[in-house]
Amino acid sequence: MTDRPDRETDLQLMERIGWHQIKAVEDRAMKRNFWKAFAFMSPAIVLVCGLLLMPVVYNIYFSFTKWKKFAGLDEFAGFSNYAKLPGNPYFDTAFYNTAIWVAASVVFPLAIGFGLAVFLRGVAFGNVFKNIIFLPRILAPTAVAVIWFHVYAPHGVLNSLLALVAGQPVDIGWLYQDNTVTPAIIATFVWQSVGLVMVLVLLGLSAIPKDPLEAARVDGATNSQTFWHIVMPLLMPTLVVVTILSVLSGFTTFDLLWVMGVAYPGQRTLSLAVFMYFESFQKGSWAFGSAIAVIIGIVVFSVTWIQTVMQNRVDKMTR
Amino acid sequence: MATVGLKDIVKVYGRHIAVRGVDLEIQDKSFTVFVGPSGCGKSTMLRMIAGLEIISHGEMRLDGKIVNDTPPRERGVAMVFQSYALYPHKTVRQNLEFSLKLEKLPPDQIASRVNKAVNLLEIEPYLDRKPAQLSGGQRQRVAMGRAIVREPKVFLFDEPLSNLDAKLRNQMRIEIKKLQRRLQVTTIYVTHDQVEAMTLADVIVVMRDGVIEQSGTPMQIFESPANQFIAGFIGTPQMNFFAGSVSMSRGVATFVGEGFKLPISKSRFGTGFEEGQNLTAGFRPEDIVPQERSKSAKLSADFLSAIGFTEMLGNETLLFSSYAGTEFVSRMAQPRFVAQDEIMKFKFNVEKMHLFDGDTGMSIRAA
Amino acid sequence: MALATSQIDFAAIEARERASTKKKWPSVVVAAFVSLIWVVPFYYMLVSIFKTHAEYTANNPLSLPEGFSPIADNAISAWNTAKMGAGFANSAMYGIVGAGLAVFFAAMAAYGLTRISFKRQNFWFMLIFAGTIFPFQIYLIPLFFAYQKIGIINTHFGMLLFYTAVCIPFPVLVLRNYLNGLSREMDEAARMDGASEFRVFWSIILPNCIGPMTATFLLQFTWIWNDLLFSTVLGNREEVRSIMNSLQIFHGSYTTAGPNLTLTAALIASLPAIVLFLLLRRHFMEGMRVTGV
Repeated sequence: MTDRPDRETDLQLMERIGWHQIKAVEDRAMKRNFWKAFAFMSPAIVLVCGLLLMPVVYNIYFSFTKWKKFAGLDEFAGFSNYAKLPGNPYFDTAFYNTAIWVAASVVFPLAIGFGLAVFLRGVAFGNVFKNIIFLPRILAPTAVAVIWFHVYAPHGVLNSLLALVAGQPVDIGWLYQDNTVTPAIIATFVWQSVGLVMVLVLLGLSAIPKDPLEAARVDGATNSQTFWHIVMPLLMPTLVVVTILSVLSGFTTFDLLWVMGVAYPGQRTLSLAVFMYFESFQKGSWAFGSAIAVIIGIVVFSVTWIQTVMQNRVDKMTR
Repeated sequence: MATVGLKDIVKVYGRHIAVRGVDLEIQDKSFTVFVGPSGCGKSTMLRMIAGLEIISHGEMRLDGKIVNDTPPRERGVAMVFQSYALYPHKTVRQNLEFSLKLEKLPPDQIASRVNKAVNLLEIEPYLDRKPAQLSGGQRQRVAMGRAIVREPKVFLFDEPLSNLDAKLRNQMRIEIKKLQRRLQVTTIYVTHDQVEAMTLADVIVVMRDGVIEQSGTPMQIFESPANQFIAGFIGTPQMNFFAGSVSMSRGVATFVGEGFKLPISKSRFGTGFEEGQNLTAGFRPEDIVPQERSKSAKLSADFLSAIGFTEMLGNETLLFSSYAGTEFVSRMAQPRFVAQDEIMKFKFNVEKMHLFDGDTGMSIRAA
Repeated sequence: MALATSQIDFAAIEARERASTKKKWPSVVVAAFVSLIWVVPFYYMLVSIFKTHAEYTANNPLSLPEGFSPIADNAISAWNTAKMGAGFANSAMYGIVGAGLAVFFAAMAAYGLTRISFKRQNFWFMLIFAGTIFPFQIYLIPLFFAYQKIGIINTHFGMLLFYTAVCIPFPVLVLRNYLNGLSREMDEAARMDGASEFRVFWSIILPNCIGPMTATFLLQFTWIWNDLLFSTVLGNREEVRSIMNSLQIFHGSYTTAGPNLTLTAALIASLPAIVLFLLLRRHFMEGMRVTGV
């Protein structure tokens, strides 16, 4: 349509009033709002900064000192704490064990949970089975550790079950030996966490629309073809989330390893997290312990970062 | 006294100027309706009056006092939102009482105000229900009740009827008008529906692109629109526009359209015309009159045209046709069945012609 | 003709599906077997708590108990020797107050982040959320020494302080996303009605967030209740210990005797979670979906 001939243009208006004038009004209001909002956020910010963010800074600082037992906090040590790590036999074993633990604690629950989810779909009494498998999830890790400690005890459940099969008393100290302690604890972990993975995969599966599946079947696709080409891509997001979370908690697991590993002579090497605890709170090598904590942090970040990058690549591929 | 004064009000969002220098005085106890197409700035104006948006520049006065920096609760204005904005977790009664409790009024005063509003709006049966259990019309009345109990200086309505179905809308329109008459409170109402504007307003303010195009009584706006945009916006069906030019002969101007000529009255349009000047003639549908055979012996028809299609509304029929390169609508007051492609005679009611400058769209009137 | 053929196809598919569920009986057997394995530790715990120590060492760990009476002794013994009473009360307090405060503070923060417009909102959100990205080990040493210095180590207050702080970031994420979905006109109506900003938060927003707040409260309560590490480091004194801490110490000191006792203690420690789960099974599942876990 047409304009009023006497209307001022944007430029004329702005020249008349002045940009800064308007900006000033808006800025004043935004600032007022900021302080209002800050009042609301302050308890959260104070608590989080004070107890969760500042400690990180301090920890990094400690790791560069020579702090041990009661002295050495003020002596600068450069990277010497970090340099001591790769050679330290405990550290090497702990690192290795942590890697195994994380890998196992991610892969096994995922594989078994996924398998169970697919398997239990549509089975009669499915809900009963699902509930039973999920039940361990509600127990605290410490309680689970206590129970399974006795399951694995020399006069414990596992040995008596094996004795039934073998026909003679079995007396293996599962948690006392190098080659059995980690697998045993992994089995316990799987017992507890499979339920959650299974539930999440089931949720993901039920979110898949029926139409593409039915269309595929009408088109003549076999079950496994349907599975790999339609179900899996749609399930990917769920699986990725589960994996990332599992990796994160895998690195920081402490309760299970500490309680169940108490009978194992090499307890401190069960994982980096346990190793760090021993060095700090039992030996008093605070700076060294801080360095280990920093290493754990770096490893966690790297793994998460790699995972996110890979996830983006996978996303792009499946589009 | 509850007057509202707007002086050179400007609202800027980042780089976008939503309201560009609005001046307006709103009288006490009047019903003022802001109307215009979406994006014209009417809702922004209302929100600035309410105190929900910062005023980028200019002065806003309530009862003569500058209120630019006064927070909403201290301005004495109450607003009815487009989506009612009722508190979903409170009952109707609690929704009504909330503002009064905040003012720390004594319980008997709260009760009496709530009762007054409840009776006025006839919402007594719903007092203990929650908003989710009410229909759209009921919620709207509760929203109005919430504003009424505050006994504010100014009522603000933000497109309150747009979420209702047509029948309810007509009903509520009448109720709002009656309410305002009874309560005698300054009311500012925003809508994009020009029917609501025409029927409710004491003063209509037509806005477009952040400026006031025209303000006046409904009749003033209808009969003397300031430009082609307003002429086309107000009145339904829309005014018909015919492009043309001026032909001067011995000082007398004639409008020359595509295939027809019409005299330009000096008393109505003045004499400031030039040969060849571009003009647009506007005729409302009721001013293009179908000429019926049985009416009078001598028929003076301006043109003939074939009917494209018709809309039969019962009490009148709308005829859609085209002539002179334009499609037009004619209102047939004495309805009868009209077949498609039937050829009818039409006459322009020249006394009701509107003229607009062909280039600027401004209305042409005698000085 | 094409219509007729596809109709037959669907009928065949349906018949096949019905047949396949019937044929799945072997799957049921397998599933039952797997479930049985899963249940063994629970069974073991349940039979052991009814045994005396002598009974336990004499028989096969999986054998049924002789009677139900020993449970009373076991329970009393576990309660007293392991100081389960103090642990229970402490963890209950930490959980209810800590998670409660955390969720409340998180709601406040989420309100500030979403209902008030100001610059750089994202920065402040990230700051709070950064509380979740570091592994726990990195807090231990600094907090241990800071607590010692300030004098709040081994105190109820110190534990509460930490638990509250650590349970804030996640609910902030959840509530922020939830609040973004609530219409903002309610706030405006309340402001026009005369409510102060805090009043808008308290009377209007908070009552509309009960769902996600409850879900996150339950999650955080469970986390606090299950905590072992931080109680051991920051609050190991008998009176201040969390229940899992008490359980672990009890277990550690009785390793060579009395699984019937330690298992009873483990059961006592797990009771609230089991009760909550049974009562609120639907809420748990709902909570996981709402929080996107």
